[in-house]
Amino acid sequence: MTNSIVLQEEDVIRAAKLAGITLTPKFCPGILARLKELREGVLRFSENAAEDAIPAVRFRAE
Amino acid sequence: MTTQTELHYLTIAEAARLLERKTISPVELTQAVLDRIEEVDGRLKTYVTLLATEALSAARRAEQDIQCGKYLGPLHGIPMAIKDLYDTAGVVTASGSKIRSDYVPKSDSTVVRKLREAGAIVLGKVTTHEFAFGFDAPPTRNPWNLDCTPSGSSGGSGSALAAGLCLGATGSDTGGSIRAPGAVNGIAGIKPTYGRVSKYGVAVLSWSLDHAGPMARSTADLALMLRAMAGHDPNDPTTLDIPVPNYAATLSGDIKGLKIGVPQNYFFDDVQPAVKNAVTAAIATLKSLGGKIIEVNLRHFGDDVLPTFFSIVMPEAATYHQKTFRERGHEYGADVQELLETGQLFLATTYITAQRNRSAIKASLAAALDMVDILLTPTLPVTAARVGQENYQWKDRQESVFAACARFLCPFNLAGLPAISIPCGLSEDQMPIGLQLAGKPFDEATVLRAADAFEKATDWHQRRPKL
Repeated sequence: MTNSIVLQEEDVIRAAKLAGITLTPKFCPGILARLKELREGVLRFSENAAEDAIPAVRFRAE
Repeated sequence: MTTQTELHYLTIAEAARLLERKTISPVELTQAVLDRIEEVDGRLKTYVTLLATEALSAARRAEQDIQCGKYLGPLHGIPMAIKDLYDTAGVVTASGSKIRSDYVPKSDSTVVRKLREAGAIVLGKVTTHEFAFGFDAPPTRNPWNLDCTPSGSSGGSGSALAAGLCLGATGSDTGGSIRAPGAVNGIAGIKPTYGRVSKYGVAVLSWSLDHAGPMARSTADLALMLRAMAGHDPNDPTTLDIPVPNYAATLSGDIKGLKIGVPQNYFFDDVQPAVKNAVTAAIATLKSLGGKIIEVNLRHFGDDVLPTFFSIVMPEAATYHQKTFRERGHEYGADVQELLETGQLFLATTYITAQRNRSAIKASLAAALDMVDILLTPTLPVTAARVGQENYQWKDRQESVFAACARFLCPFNLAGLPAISIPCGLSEDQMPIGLQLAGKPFDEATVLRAADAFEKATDWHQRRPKL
């Protein structure tokens, strides 16, 4: 993984195509900013969390 | 502030005593609340659907039953408001959205069914933010200041309770949507443990974070409502088949020796002075009642709790709405549309990493709750936002209203723990302030007992807005 990639609006528009949606143009800057901020925040947190932490998803065998 | 004692401002517990003794009738009580709605709801706009005729019919049936000795219990004949996220048979349940403006469920959500079975009278449906995805409930206003929002998403329930437009209400809470409107409207609300109350028939925001719960004007009322609402539901596989206590019977007022943990990190960062003062005073009150105040430090709590929360709620919401959004995306409100577009673009790795972080947050709260019985925090760092306000200003940063509302509340959604908000003060401009108490899994009884003891020693929950 590299942190040198700078996400641009056109990258988000292409990613939306992968997701099968068309982004509303006026939302693109906000979406880009939020995706970057949240991804960075989640990764920062995970660096301090226990390495053996598993996702908080409970599967019940029934 | 006024100290009105009109019928519409009775608590459920007070009204129940009068109804059981036949001092008042369900019809009289329901009509009094309908009159109050007629008087003030033009300004507050809490009800999206008012069921006056149906409510009076139900009240007449309740009156006959009580006269015949068929008293069902403390919710019998009590007029209640239902958040428009909850399915109600034969009544439009739009979830605050154009998308569902013509959706008429054939059956009640489990919670509404249980409340009706306990004898409650459904007055109507009250506002929610569109699909509960926001801390507001347009066009509803805050009765303490009509220029302010009632917060959300259960803002219709919070405003209606504060204004005397119902005696109890349902709410839902994914990142604080029961407790935030509880705090800014000066009423009580509890988010029970994940799995305590069925969400069957309640529109989904986020499967793993959503909770259904009661809102009322006192903790004692929450205890009565929660007992009726809680329990295993075969239609909701997240509910657990464990006994539901008689919560009201545990409200002894005695908290001597109760270990109350006060976090020394995270929960008092960037807090308005009035909030800090009110919560500090609340700590002193609980200490004077015999509570043992214990300072605790929460591992992993910092600025990145919120990204973890948002990185779970946004993709889960986007998944729930995926099909509808592709077909009718332009019909969603602009704010929800933007959130759902964002949610579609999360990488699976970000979502899974957030779920790993969530495990760390759960473990941190569990470790703290190994040392204490409950945790105490401000409900919100702020008082109500003004309509149209986008940010709160702190010394060295701005914070969105959304983030400020979720900051102290979402950790307990991430961990699934029971958490209550009760009134603990007023700011200089007479806006309500909330106190949050959170407990161990399925130990709502201790949370309620502590909150009730606080209410028995203070009168914040009895303050009413001037309208």
